[in-house]
Amino acid sequence: MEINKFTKSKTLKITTAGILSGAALALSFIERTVAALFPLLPGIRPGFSNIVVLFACAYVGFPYALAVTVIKSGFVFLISGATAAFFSISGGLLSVIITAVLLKTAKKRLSYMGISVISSVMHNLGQLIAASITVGSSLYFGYAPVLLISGVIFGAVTGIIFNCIAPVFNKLFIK
Amino acid sequence: MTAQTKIIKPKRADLIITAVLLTVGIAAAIILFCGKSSDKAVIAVNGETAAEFILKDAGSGFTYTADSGVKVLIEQDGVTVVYSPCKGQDCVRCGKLTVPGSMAVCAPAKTVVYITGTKAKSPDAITY
Repeated sequence: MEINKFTKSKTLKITTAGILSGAALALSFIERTVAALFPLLPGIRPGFSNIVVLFACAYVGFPYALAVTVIKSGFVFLISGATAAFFSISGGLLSVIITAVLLKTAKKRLSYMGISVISSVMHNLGQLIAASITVGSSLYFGYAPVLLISGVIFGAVTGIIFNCIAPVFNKLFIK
Repeated sequence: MTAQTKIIKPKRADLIITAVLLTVGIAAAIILFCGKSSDKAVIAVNGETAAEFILKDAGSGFTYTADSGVKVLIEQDGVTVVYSPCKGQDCVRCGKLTVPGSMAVCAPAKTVVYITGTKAKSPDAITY
């Protein structure tokens, strides 16, 4: 079964987007719950729901990854309000665009680990830019080193996890 | 074997990118946060400084409420956001800020609380 052929039907396209969004939201919710129990530094989350975005980008198609990102931000809007949703969509869009570009151009040189690290750092950069626009000051960039370090660490973890489960996806979705 | 099965193993470029970004982050953190002594707590609202407090003059501590509604406790050893009108409460969870360069940001209230510092003076001489 090849997922791109499989998703030619409109109903299946909607179903696929729904399943992916559901998986991203579930991971996002679990992450928030765990983060509340074991608080890290503010603004720092592991970003495991990005596994779903990476999967969508790599196996299903960019529009699906984009849809998951937007729906995830909608979920953040309902839970945490407009400002947090703005941060989420800014980081998410920058991250998903960079992921798609890297999958197209740097596939031979980078594994999912490298792509995930860059994507995670871009996610944090997008959020920093959004925060600076919201607060009306570049002061927030003082937090950049912390976000860079956390982005690299969690991006690498997410990428390694994806590297491990990718063979299963290959078996399921690629001829 | 397809192209997608080939990219599962981490490659040299992955490790180089990870190491370079991590090194840049750690170096920036050391430059920004280390080797300085805490001098002032600054509260900025809408990108403009609303108040500045010399930490050593804070006595037993006092509370300052910014126009945005964010309440800050200023003490000699640091500054803590004790209340924020926002939903997320990330700034409250920051705890006490003690290191120069550390900050608590309440984006919905457009308020940034941070510590500034000067380079810690090294001793003129050490006697044994």
